[in-house]
Amino acid sequence: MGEPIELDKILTGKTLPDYAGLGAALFHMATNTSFDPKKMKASKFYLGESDAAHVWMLYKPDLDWLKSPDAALTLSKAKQYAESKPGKRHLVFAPARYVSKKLLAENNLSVEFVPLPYALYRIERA
Amino acid sequence: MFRALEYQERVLTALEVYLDRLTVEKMAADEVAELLAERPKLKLSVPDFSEATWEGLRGEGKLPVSRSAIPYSPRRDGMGNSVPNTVLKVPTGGGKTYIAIDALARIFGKYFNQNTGFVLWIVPNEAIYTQTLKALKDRQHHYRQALDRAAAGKVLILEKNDVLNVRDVEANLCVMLLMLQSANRETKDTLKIFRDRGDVHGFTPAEGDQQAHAEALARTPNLDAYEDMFPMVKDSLGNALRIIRPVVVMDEGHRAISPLAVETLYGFNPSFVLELTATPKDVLAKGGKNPVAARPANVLVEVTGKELDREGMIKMPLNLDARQGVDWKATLNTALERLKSLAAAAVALRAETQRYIRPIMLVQVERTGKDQREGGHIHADDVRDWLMTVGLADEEIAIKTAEQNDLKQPEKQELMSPKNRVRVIITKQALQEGWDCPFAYVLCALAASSNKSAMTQLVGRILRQPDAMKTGVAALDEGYVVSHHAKTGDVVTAIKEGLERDGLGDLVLAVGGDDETGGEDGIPKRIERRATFQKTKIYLPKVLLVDKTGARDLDYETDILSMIDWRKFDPKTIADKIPENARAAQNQLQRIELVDKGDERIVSEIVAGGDEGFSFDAVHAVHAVRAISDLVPNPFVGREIVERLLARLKKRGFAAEKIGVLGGLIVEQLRLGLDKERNKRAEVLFKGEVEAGNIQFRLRADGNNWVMPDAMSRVVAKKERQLVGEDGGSLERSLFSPIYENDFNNDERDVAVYLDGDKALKWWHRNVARTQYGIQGWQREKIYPDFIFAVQSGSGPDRLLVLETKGDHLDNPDTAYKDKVLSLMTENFAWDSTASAGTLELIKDGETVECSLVLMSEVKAKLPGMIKSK
Repeated sequence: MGEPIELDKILTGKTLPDYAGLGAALFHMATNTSFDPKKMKASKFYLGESDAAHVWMLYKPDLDWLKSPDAALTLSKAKQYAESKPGKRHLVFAPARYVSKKLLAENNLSVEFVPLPYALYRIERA
Repeated sequence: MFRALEYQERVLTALEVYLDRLTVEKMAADEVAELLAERPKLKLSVPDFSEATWEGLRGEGKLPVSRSAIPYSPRRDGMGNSVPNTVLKVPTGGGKTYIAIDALARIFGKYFNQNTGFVLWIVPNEAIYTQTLKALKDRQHHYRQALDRAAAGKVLILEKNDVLNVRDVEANLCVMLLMLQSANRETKDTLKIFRDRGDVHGFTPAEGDQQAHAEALARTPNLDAYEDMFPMVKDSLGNALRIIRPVVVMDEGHRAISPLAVETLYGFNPSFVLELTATPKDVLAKGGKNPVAARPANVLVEVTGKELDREGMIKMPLNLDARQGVDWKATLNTALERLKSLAAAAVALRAETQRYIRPIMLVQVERTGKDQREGGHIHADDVRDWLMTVGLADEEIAIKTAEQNDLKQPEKQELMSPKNRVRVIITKQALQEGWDCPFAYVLCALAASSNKSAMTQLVGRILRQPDAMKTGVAALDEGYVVSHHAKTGDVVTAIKEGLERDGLGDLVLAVGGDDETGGEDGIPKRIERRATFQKTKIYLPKVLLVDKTGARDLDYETDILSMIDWRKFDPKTIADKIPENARAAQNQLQRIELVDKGDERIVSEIVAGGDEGFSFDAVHAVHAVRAISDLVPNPFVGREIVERLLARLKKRGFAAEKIGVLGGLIVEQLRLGLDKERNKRAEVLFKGEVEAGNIQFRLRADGNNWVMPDAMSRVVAKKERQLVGEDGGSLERSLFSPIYENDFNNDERDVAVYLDGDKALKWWHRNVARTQYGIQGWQREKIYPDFIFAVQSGSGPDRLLVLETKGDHLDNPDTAYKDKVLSLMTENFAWDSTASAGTLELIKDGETVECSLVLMSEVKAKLPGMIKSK
């Protein structure tokens, strides 16, 4: 029963972990690689890279920001990420995805959305 | 990768319409039943609510056109009660399992109004059983995740020998997987499922409480019992099911059509039977000694192969290379060359997009047995030896036969893994249904002439597109069949059968054989434009999103759904609509116990999900947020809305327990309300963007328009009738010729004939839904108009008219929506002359485009005006 209750605390904004803490956990879960805080750039929402992928996380411990369109993966953000670090897949943790998978595929963007905060307990790539 | 597909949406919408109606009819039937129970002398009979629902849908034209003439086939359970039954026709590879799970969520949400219960999931064979079980037990799998979402995480996956406890059924969504054979055999008494066993708890009364046992039998007369002086109900799984009244999901429902299978299945007293199949079978009536009544399939929705193709889920077209030589090695070599060129394309694709595909070839041989290598037949070992001499490694070849299964070796198991090296699979018999490998691209049928049926089956195994998404590289989006020493016509027929078996019969036309020796009942035919229009370029405007980076097709999810801001939304009106005395249309588990209470004995009835002091807590809140995530994509915003809803309900005086019990209904109502609000907001948004010039409907000089194809293909049956003009002569103004009657319903036929007879028309065209011209409005589904025609007014420019016809009244929300979109588009049609350098420029000739919706009842009155006006 712990899991949904924790999730609900995040969703309601009661407990919002800080960027580095959440990022470290998610990065490790998604890549099985250890997290290197030096590679992280919170201002650019970049967590780091593994052999296979670059990992990004759109997150701030601020409920209003999390509800805003700034917290969503959009087509322009996907393009920007793919262009800034070419060569590998991109995993993007974010509360919402404001671009269809079809459009991402049509633009040949190898960008995969992973929903927050559910990813904390289970990496879903839906 | 998982995405919502247009046709899946369509299937689920149809199911929702069905369920809404079913709920109403069921409640009406229950009222009659109640009245009868009170006053048994009334000359009334309880209506069959399932049939009434079906006939209602038929009346509204909501059933598939191809099946509108087929009567509803009523189903009754072991106690004679009506059982709602629907068949969803989904081709192999169309995501049947996913649709089934989404459908379950709808059935429980709408019809049972709860998210706990019992599902009996029946699969046809071992392979699918193992696959489904693995997927459902794996919490990371999207099937399981969809189930978890439907049941707020309380999911229990069971097998037939697992311990079954009544409490589990009450508190969880239990899904029990069962193989068809387990429920379907002549000697059904000996089956384990009907045996008395010690680990089925709590469904039947305590041992020795004879009166309770008698009572239980009276309530559910078809229970198995020891018939003694005092009857005693057996503690068997079969009995538990009969008491639970499960929802039955039949994967490959067309396999359970024998009278025995049907009898056993409905003997479990199901409360709902959902069948999914690629090829629905209509059982014909049989006379003789054991007469069988006709039992057609109750098909609610049909998904066609074309829809799958359009979503890029299957490899199309299939390229056929029918080799006529006698040297099988030459044939195999051709196939191998094909495989190599595909592998090269796949490497290039991976370098560009990091998408991994390893094309695999299936080789069908004549013999596989160890001692059958002599005798001049093509043997699996011969094929392997030859492949190894031309350079393939042992690890790249797998033989799969009855006695040898290389695919079970650890390093060859995961075919989709980049670490796996298998490139060729050699087999003789058909691979089992459910064995699917999207990487299989080439079928080399060395036994095409001697074992046609196996080949037919194998064709289906190379159809799935990797990741269910096209690559954009033509070679990797198509399938290949290389056959050895068989007549082209025979191979085409075999492929056609194969496609039909997978429910993809409408795709046959895409098979590229070199001659037109098709099967008995139809040959693929290319239909060209009339000679006078062959060179005419016909363009229609698309609904485009224009921003500084250019123009692209409007994407519903990206440009409409995501742009709706839900942050300030107050669900007050939704909360106020939730009734305080809501009740479910149907209850699943009905269990009785007789309790001693003094001299009196009381029958207590326990209804699933109702008694467990649920309150709407964090678990439910998170579930609710997920359940609305397709409407409100941001979960933080979703949570806020749920919070406001709960606050409002509490203010109305709903106690926490009550909110908990009504959880399913609350989520359902919230979804309905949000859906309505979404459409409202989407409309405002869409119109605003049109006003601002960001959404455009223009004929563009840079060529970003829809282009009318030069030819279409269609399967034409031998004696299929062509559409004729009013005077019985041939049509004169259709853009394509010939035109066949079956492409129209009666009303549309009249419109076509009318258009053809009008001299002001240059040409007319019957638009093909879902594959040709579509207009994206502010709802998810595109509008596919029925007719497109061109009118020439004197020497002036052409007017293109786009016509959608509708059978019902304007107050139907769908009709009203389409009408609004089409008039908006007409108002905003324009020419756009911006063309970037280097693109083909379209000459602006002043052509105009008008879109309209006309009700069938008004066609005759309105069409002349439309053609003449302006």
